[in-house]
Amino acid sequence: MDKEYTIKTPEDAIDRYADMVYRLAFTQVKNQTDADDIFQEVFLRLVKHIHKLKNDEHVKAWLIRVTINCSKKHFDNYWNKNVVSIEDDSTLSDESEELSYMLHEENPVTLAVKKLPEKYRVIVHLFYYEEFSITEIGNMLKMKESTVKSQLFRAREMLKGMLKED
Amino acid sequence: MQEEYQREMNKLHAPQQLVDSTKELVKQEEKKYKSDVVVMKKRVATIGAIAACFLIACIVVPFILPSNENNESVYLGDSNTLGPVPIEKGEETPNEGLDITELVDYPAEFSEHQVEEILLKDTTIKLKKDEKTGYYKACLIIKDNIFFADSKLKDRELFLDKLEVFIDSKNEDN
Repeated sequence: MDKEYTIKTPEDAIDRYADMVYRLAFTQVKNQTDADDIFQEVFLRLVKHIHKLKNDEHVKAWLIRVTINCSKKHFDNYWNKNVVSIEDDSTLSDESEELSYMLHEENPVTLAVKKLPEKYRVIVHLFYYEEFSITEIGNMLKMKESTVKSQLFRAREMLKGMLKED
Repeated sequence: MQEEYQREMNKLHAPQQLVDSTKELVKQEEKKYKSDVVVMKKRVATIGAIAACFLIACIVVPFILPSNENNESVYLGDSNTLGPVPIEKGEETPNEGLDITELVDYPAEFSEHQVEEILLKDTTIKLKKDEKTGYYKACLIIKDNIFFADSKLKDRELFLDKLEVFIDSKNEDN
């Protein structure tokens, strides 16, 4: 069965996959500003590579991989290594209740997912939200299936622990 | 848990302002990329054309340039290598059928007893017939130069006729 190729331009890709890219970026970086930057960077990179992508599924997989890579670069950036956001700083959130109004009212599950280490967050998002299979996730992240399975298992255990505490 | 997570994620959308500004940026990037690609293609085409011209020149030029070969005739005695002597029409090739080599000294085989010594055209010739093949060969001195004539001739008279022609040609040259 031939796979469809309806995405001819980067604008088509934005129309179709904007939310997917944004959600994945936000899951990774946990704030809107950085998610916005990553969103733009991903689609700007697509301009140079779209002619190499064979079909819509290929475009989707490419966008996910590049979003993850751009998010990793974001973490490696000097500024981000040395700056902690108010939301992440547990000492501030513990000591200062008046700051709580700045934090979003979030669902306990999404909050728990946000607290997971970055590599687990990606897998949880791709498996539970984007509903990719273990094999597809392994191909996208260039990981063995066994590694994906074990990381997913550990992520689930951590989520269960966090949600029990709540 | 999965449903709850999906429900929460579905509430998150890329801001419309971000989508619009990204589309604008992408359009500008596409224009820039396309012009870069055109420039690159022109460069590659130019380099390719220059390389092709160079290759063609390497192949064609050697055929166009005049040859440096020596057009003079190669005469026996000028070198130790064999070579047919250019002849006028009607004239017999002096060394036709003969394999002539100029030597520094008599070969050892011509010091043996089975060598016949004859006089031909005022030239002393040491004549020998190869026992295995039956072919005739000779050693002779013309104008202080030693020549060795090998052949695939079993006919003595024919061999001597050829030698005569060769001796005449050497004497004419000198």
